[in-house]
Amino acid sequence: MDEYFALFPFTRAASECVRSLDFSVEDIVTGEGFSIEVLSRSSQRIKQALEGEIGRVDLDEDIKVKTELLSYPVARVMVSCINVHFLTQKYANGEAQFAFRKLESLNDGEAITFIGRLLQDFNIEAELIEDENRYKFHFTDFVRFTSGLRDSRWNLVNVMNEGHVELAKKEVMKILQQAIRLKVLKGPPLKPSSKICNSLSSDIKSIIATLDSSMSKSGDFGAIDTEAYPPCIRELISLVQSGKSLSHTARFALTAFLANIGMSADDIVHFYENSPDFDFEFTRYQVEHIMGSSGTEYTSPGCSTMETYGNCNWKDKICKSISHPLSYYRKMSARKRSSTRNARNYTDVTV
Amino acid sequence: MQKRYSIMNSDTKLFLQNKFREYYKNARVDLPPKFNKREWAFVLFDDAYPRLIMRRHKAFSSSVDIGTYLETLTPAHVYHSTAYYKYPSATKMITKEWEAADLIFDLDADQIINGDFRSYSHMLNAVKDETKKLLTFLTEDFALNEDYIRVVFSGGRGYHVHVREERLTKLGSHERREVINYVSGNGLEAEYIIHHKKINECSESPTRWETRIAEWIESYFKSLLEMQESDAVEQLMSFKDVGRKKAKEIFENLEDIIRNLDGGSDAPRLLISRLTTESFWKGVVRRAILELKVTVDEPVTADTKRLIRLPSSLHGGSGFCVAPIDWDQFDDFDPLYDAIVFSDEMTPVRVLSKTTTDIKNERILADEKTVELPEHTAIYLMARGYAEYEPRRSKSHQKQ
Repeated sequence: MDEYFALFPFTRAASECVRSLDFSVEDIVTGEGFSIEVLSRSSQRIKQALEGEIGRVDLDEDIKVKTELLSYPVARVMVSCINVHFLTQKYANGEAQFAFRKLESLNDGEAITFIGRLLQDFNIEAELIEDENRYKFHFTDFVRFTSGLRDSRWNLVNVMNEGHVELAKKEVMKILQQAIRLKVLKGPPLKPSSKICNSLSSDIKSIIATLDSSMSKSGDFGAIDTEAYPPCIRELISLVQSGKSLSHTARFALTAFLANIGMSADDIVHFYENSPDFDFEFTRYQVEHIMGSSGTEYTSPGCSTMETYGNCNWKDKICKSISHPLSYYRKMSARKRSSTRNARNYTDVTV
Repeated sequence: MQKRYSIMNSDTKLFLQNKFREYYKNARVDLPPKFNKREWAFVLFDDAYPRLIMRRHKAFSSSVDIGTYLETLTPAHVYHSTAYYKYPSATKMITKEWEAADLIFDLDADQIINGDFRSYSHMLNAVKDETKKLLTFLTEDFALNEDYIRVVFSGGRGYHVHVREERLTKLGSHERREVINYVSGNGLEAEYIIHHKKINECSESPTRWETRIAEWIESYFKSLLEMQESDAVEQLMSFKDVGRKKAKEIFENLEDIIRNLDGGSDAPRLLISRLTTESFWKGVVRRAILELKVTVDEPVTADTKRLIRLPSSLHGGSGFCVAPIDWDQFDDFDPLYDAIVFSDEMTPVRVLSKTTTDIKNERILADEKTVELPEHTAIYLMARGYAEYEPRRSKSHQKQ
């Protein structure tokens, strides 16, 4: 079997291969033997993504290639079953980085081949300028994938010429990493059935235990330092940053929280930009209204209200000692200030 | 000139609407591509008018339907979405199901002149120049074909640019913001430009922005040469850390500096010396960017679900046509002439406050004593709330 599918199992080509193997997720879940290996690797992918980086496996035997290939769709289903966005985000980042590392480790010839196949899979028209080892991207294919990248070399203004951007191999790999992250984040079009999720319950329980300990460690969400934020708020932030839309109550809770802790109106509006129904004027109006333009400055809702509206789906240890998200924040900020600074292990979260 | 949201009397509303109706009956309305996938919105000449109540979520399946709507309901303002939806008439944004959207730019005089108002025509020229800058960016830097770009007079004080190229219509809000950043020069790294450092492993040829900056710098220094020493020195002193003594010295060495600029490449070659320090060049580069950048209304371009005026419709606040403009006629386009669809037939009015207008090269001073005005000017003043229609006077006038 073509190693490519196992190395990059999120591709369309890989999905087609899975289909042709006549395996369904149900088979994996209910079967034995071979399936146990797949389930084990699926759990491993998720846990390793949560705690650091996904580790490579040997692909020297056909059975190992098949296991690796199938472990991705099963893992993705597990992630969908759990449905905690913080996890989905971490997982997508993990898979994307994993793919990047694999690409980096290839020799020139292999890299060019695999890059070519991946570009095609993502519908990116990039011209390889052979002798110069460069790729020429149309600017639309460049900007599609640079929203998560901060360095000035990813700003169109610094690199475009005649509607195109030229990139070295390494940079193309970075772009592919972003494309992969977005794809894994999006996940399969249909939610898994409760039957499937139930069959996976023991693996899921184990993953959730890892999630619990991972979430209470430092969570670096990029520009916004969410370390002192309660899990409910971090979850909402995670959703917004991924371009998901929030319910009305969730939006209110999040906006009010950010306003209450001192974020400026501009920053809050800017933060909502990726929402699918983002309307600049309306969001601005909403934010200003919550911040008191009509005379009342609103306070974000307390824990029981968050629970009532389904906006509290995750409680950690500290949650048990407070009854308002702002209290959580105050407690955690105070702790941060008083504790000695330790060297922290940041996982490279590209947001 | 400020807009007066005064109460418009029903005679005036009716008069305006009838005039608009005549226009729509005879005009060939320029429908946007895939008009049936767009949301349409209107402001009507109803009881609430001139309070602007937007009637949204309209959709049309045939061009005849649109024509009929315009001729019968005759709105004061006509808009369509830049976006293409699966269900354009759905009332919730999510249920409309966004598929794609034109890339648009709104260049407004207010933003460009920034309070420095001299005259209406000065203002219109400023915004026209800004629009030309944008068009150059689009065709040269983005390498977009002219055929995909439509320039339209906004009907007020500026221009709209509609870009309809397949790949661009799929861009999301963030990507459109990158386009804005590009034309605004946001994020340009002056240091890279000055030291001609490679920003990524690949950039061997300079970027279009670098070339543009290089050309600007060269022509700026050459223009200093043409000036009187005192003027040039004043100019140079406007840069940070350049005092009179230094400015004089730079002026004296201008020819050398200019000679050093020409490195044979298209990128700026900025020799750092005791006289022309890195800080000096940073200031020069920043000035170049300020002069070369385009000022567009950012939220408009970033918004993937904007409502924009229908090209070839009439603007209810001025009576002007939201006129589509051919590329080769843009230079000569004068809104006060080419966006006027009404005649000079004398029309009875009651002027509410003194104003001067310049429509069709005719300067008119209207005040409370004025009894009639050419139709186009009358409509303009009525639309703006500076005059009301006076049908009674018309009868007495007809006797003469």
